[in-house]
Amino acid sequence: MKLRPLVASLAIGMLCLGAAHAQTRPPIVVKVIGFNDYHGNLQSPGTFGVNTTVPSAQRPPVGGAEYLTAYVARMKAQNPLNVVVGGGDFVGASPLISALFFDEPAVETLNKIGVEFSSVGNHEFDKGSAELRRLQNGGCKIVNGSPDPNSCIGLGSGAPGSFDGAKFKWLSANVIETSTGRTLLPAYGIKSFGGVKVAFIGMTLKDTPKIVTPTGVVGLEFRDEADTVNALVPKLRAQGVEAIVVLVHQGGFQTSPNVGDINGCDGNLKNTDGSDSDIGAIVKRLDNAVDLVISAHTHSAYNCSANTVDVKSVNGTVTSTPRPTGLANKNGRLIPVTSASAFGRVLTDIDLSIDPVSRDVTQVAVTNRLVDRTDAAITAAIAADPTVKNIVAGYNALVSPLANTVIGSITSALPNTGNSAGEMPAGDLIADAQLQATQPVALGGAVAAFMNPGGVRSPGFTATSYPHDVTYGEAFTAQPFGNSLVTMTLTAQQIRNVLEQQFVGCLGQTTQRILQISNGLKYSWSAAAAPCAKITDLTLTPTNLGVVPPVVTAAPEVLVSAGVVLNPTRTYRLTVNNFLATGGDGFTVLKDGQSTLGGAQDIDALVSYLSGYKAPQAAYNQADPVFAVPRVTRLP
Amino acid sequence: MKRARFCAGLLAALLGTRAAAGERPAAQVTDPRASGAARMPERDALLNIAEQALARGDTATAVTAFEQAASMLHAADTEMGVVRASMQGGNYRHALAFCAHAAGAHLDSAPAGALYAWLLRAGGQDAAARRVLETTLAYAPHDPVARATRRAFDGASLRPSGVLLELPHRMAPHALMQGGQAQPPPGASGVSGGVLIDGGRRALVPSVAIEGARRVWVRNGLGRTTEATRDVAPEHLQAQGLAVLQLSAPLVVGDATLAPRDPFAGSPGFAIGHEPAPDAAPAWPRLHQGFVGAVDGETGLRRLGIDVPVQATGGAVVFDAMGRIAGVALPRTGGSTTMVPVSMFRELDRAPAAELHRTSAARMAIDEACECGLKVSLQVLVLA
Repeated sequence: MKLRPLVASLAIGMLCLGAAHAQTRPPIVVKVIGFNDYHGNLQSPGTFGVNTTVPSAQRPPVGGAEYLTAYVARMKAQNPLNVVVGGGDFVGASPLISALFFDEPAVETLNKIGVEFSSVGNHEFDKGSAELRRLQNGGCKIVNGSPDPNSCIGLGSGAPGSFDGAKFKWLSANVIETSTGRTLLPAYGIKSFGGVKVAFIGMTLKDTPKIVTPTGVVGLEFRDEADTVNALVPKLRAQGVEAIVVLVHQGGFQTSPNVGDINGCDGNLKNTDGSDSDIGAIVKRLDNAVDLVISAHTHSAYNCSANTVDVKSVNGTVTSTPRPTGLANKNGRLIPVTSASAFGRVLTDIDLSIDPVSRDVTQVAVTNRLVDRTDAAITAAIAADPTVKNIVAGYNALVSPLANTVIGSITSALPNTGNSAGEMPAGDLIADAQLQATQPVALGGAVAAFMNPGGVRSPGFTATSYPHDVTYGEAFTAQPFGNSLVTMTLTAQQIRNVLEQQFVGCLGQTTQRILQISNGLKYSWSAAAAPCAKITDLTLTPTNLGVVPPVVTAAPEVLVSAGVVLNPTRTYRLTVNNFLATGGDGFTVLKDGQSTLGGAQDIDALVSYLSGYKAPQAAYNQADPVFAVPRVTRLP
Repeated sequence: MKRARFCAGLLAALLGTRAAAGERPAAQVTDPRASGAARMPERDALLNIAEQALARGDTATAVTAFEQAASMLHAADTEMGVVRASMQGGNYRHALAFCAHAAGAHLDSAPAGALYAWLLRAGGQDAAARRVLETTLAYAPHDPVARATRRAFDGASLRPSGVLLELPHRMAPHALMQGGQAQPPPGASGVSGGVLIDGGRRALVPSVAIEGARRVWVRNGLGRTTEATRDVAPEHLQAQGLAVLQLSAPLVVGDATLAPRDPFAGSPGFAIGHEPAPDAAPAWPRLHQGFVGAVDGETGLRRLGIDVPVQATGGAVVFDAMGRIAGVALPRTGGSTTMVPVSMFRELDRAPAAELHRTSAARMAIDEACECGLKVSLQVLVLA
């Protein structure tokens, strides 16, 4: 007890020294970038004006994950001491592009945007606390014991087929698990800037249980927002934290005169009857240690700070008048309170000036900025780094119900594994599809097709039971490259040379690659024969694949017999993909093809061909002799 | 009265699902000013202004008024108004995204969920539409709008009627006559779909649809309607069963252009069209996604390929994977569906070359295709 006067004197002395020292050290400026209520809006939510006086036609398109990313990057580039934070409702009530994939795309794009801390909002609980934890920690969505096919797409995660989870921390200071008495997720996060710590306390509105699915909040208790913050202040101070930012998923609205300027604070967010808004009521009870409140929930944009403006429209004339403001805390001090609309339309750009000695915030400069998609420099930045744009485009493509559409049926497995001769069941099917697509004269007039074996991707066409309905998604897995078909004229000698070029040592070939060939072609190759002398015989039986089942239309024609090309200059129309047509896989002979004609994509040809084997028509049965399998024979 | 009925329904739903648990209605929790009665008349007036503007096709005024109302109260009725204003303006993607939020954020409002389900189904997302509707019905099993939506989904047709046409969820555009024309008289009926071509000046429709008609009108998915007269059609189109209409007032084509070539068989595509109806009520078209068919070896006709209910096939516009107009769907005797490819009617389109070809070869997303289809897919109305 006797020591108290001494301690007090020392403390005062230290403070004075600190104050004197602070006069010589400039403040640390930290850029805080905030937004809220993203709701999985990976794509632009439309147009938005800085206030309601802007005519609809003059409002720019705003938002979109790639633009948010680029704007955040621009702001971060202005100050290396930065942090990106959120006010909650980042997921839930989201468009199909995110909702279909369990909001994993929202989390992945938020990771790319660079969010570090966010409060939970009421919509984070839409699917329950376990699902929120999964979104935080990563891992696939398990339904009935199995991963859901729409989970772990992974376009924005570390690897395809995975979901990284949020790289930012969701904070839930006032959400308590009743079974443990602990917060569901961390109550706060701390980040140091130049040796000075800033704390971010995250909370949702205490009334969350009343506005979400009851099952979503089972076993959780939502406590009073202001009480929660005030109880944390001593703990944070004990850790040397004096700069405290509250991220709270609660908000207010601007009121009369109401033009809703994104940097306005009309009516100081009070209700029309003069009572405090929910956010005002919270701030009114906050400890004086809190320096900034980033709010959310109402989808309003407002800026109650030193940078507040009053915007009025009188007879079409718009005026903007500065009116420094804030919302009073329990000491009557005006605290900056912000909100950034919703759906990624607006970003709040905040500069916190912090005294490096007292570690307390001395100034807060807030500006709400539109995420304007017409900004040329931002658009150029996205073009230079389209990572996020590609993620959005990828998920947008996957939203299509096409992937699960049945395109045909098969009676047995058609794997991409070759037999001893190199022939693959999946390769036969694909080569037939390519021939069928190019047989009509107007589409190429082909009589045969070659498919490179490496282009028949694993696993081919397989299932656990048969007959099996092949979906477009499965077909795409087997044919993922988007190659287009090319029909060309080759002589009999060139066709033979192509087949010889399958083997190492012939015409520069370095790897054995057995081409998959279409119905109607048959040949034998000798394993023991010398390079460029392996093809012993080759016949072509003209077959119409445009009808189901295929029909032989003419007698077999022998092109090669006993290793000799019978009519070397006779020409044939042959279809390959554009990879082979340009000499891919070492098949340089194909570069000499004449009268080339481009055609459909390989996957289109496959879909079209299999449509002939879709219910109610009979399934594709490769064992049927009409498919003439095997087509390639390996001789000793 | 309609809004009053909606509110009564909403109240009933709330009483049945939430109030019984002794909880405050969501609107009061999410927005404290629900109790601020002073501004509610002002809000109601704004909603009326918005609805009137929407009914006369003044989308900009409607949006502004809806937004002002939205800033007074976070409520489902306002958000559904914004959704319908977006649809009336042809912005299906914005409408869909915003309706996803309205449905998710206002679980107490079954009409919001039903409207979202309806828009999803119109846009070809049948499975997602069903999931949304079932979720909505799980919350409000007795809601008349959700139940009527389910009946429509279960039925053969997706035409709205009865409670589905009430505000604020109205699942159809307003009928907006072009150039001061009069509304089609009673007795007019929707007989098929059609395709807007030639910069919005002409339309391709099934010949059989207008055979013997005294008067003909066409209407796009925005509700924009104009009378039309039969124009001379090339013989090869007549042989295919297509007629050409000259529009009395042009309609806006939007971004849709003709494909530079016929689509390859098996390539992804979209068909978007209207079903016949006993009346002339406006409706949004419905999109189906699938794969374009090949030429039938026996008939020489191009198969449509895309699975579309046969009653919705007549005059449906076919887009290729890039969202370009690639053909017109037609039903044939025997129940088969075919497509008259773009190469057969390109000559009719006098649009400048620059408008004919999209420079981007990127595949069009399904929601964007639906947005394009709103403008070029036509309802064909006739007075017999």
